[in-house]
Amino acid sequence: MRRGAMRVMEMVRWNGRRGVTYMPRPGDGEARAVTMIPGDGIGPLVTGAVQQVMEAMHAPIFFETFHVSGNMTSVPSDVIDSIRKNKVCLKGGLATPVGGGVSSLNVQLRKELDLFASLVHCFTLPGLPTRHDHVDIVVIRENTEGEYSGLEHEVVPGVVESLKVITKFCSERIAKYAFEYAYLNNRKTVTAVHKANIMKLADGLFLESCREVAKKYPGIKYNEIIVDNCCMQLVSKPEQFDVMVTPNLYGNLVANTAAGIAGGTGVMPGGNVGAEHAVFEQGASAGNVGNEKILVQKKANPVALLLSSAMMLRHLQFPSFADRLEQAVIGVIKEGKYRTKDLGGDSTTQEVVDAVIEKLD
Amino acid sequence: MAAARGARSFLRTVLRRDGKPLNCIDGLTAPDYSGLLPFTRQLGSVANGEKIRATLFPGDGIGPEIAESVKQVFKAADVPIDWDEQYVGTEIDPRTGSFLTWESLESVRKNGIGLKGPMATPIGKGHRSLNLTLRKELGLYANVRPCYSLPGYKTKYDGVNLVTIRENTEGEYSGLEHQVVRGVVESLKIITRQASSRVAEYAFHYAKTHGRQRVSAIHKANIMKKTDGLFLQCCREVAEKYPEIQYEEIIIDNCCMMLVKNPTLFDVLVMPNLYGDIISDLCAGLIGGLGLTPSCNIGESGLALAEAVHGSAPDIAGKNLANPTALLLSAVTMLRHLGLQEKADQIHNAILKTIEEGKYRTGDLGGKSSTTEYTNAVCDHL
Repeated sequence: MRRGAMRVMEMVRWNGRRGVTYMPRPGDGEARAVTMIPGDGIGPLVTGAVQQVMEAMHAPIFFETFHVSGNMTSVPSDVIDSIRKNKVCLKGGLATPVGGGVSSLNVQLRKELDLFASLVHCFTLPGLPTRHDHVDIVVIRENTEGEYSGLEHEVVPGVVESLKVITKFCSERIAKYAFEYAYLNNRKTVTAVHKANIMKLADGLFLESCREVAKKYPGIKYNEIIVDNCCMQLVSKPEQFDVMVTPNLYGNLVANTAAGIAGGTGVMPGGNVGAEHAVFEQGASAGNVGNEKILVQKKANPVALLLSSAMMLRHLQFPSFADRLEQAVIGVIKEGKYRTKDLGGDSTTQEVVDAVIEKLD
Repeated sequence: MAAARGARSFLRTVLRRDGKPLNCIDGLTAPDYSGLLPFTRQLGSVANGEKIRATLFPGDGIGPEIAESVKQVFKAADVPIDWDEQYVGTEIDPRTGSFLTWESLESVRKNGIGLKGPMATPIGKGHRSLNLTLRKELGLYANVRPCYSLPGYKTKYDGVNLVTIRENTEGEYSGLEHQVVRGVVESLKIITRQASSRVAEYAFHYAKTHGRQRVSAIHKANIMKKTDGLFLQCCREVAEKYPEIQYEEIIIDNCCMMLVKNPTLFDVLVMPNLYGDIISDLCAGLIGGLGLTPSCNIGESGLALAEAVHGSAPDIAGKNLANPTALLLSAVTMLRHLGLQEKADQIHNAILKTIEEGKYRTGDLGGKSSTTEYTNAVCDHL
């Protein structure tokens, strides 16, 4: 089975065009509006990078920018309305205060728009040295319930309870989405990650739903793995994994582990999708607001968000633009001249963006 | 079972800093850990030439062979330990509700130190799993796993030298689940100040006694504000008492990512139950798997039960092919807990040298030696 970015490169290398052409419907070339939330920290830097590249490509999208900060108590209603209208949003990271009274805005946005599936695509990029080769894992994570229900209370002073809620409805729809994704993207295996030997009812319900959906896709292999074994396998033999479907918390951990293995969170694309809306952002959430130093020196890595915007272009059915953008970004990484600090280089964000724009054909 | 226990209330001896014992009747008074040193046992007896009695559970499958290995190495190194072997019974003991007899548990409680081989839980209902029984009956509240790269056994990660300390009694593994209505299940995650403080205290104490510089608390308090927030608060309070040890807090997804990119960044990690389970297995994967990882469970009043966390491998049982490294390293951890640093270092270096040389390695490390050959090599290197 072909792995990693090689498949994309193969497809696009044939004269830089696809094999059989993409025939649009008349009027598909109309510019689409996309909501843009720069966010906190390095967010504005990397979303600015995406805007520059989109302009250079003359992509048929224009951005409606809204400024949301992680310190706000809730996402402003005009932002939500805009996303409901445009159906698609591109977002930098929103910082979540630790232990404070404000609930995470990222989680709020997902619940409000019912973006029940979070997808992170972790693959090794050619030219980027990593400890493991041939990694191509897609982690599909349930985004609305599970441990992130936010239902906590203090029973008596010194004893706190947190509820983890698993419902059949949500488990079923995430399993359906995972198998549908595998089917539409020609993936061979779906692995469910769980801890049902300890949390028998909760994760047991999740597994039951996955098994039921698996029966409807006989062409796709289905297996299950316990989350601690999964992490151990990820650090020793990540090539065995293909698509992974997980409840909320495990998905966070597995996605970040897989991202770290495949090259770092600075390069992995991802998105959140619901029945009606899609929000694209940097795949793995660790470090997506960056820290002071890289913000001041403007050395944030724009690759993750650029690849996510390529995913977005494909979602909006502009495949040729998506291919060009992806090819340019992968080419820049492969060359190795312009890489930001987390990839072992020393360039600034702007240098990487300029290199990508130059590589666009 | 509660009635039987009430009939024989036993005294636990807990030591104060000045060496005088404080008796507290189990279950009736909760000892105040602030003035006590509940983590180590008195070693005056060793200086007198007496031996320490330690319980040994050989376990199933490859258990007996690797236990023999440990006994051989300890004898060659002249370690003052007297083994008290206990076996898993063949029937359920009604006093414990599992296959472990009351006598074996009493022996661990009395000796205060134990070593456990791999045990296969028999499948079936009506009894508690063996690990759960041990944990509940002995009050094992912290699981300590030192993970370090073995020189000579190369994995993709070098220079790993960290310790994961995991809270073992509560958190997500409380087992409190119920179905609210059809298709909706709730599972409770419980965090208490008492358990969090206890494990934080142990973590800092461990860091201090083993010369570690930094303790990192792993959490997800940006999402689970109250529960992990309480855990963090307890860790911070304990950190203030140990100003010489650096303390930091890391969100778990960040931690996972950093572990796979650069595991040398970490020193001691302290975590609640679920995160601890995942992270400690992840770290075991970094150094080569569960077959090489030592582990130690810490219980009330300084009780320690070191164990090998790998499976019982019934397919190679009895064939003299098993790798005793995990159990040997766990035994070394046990010795360190007892304060026998010299002997621990001696055996530890012998093991590392044997693996590094590469002449005698068992099958799972890529060699062809048998258990006895490997054990003899370790004894020679002492």
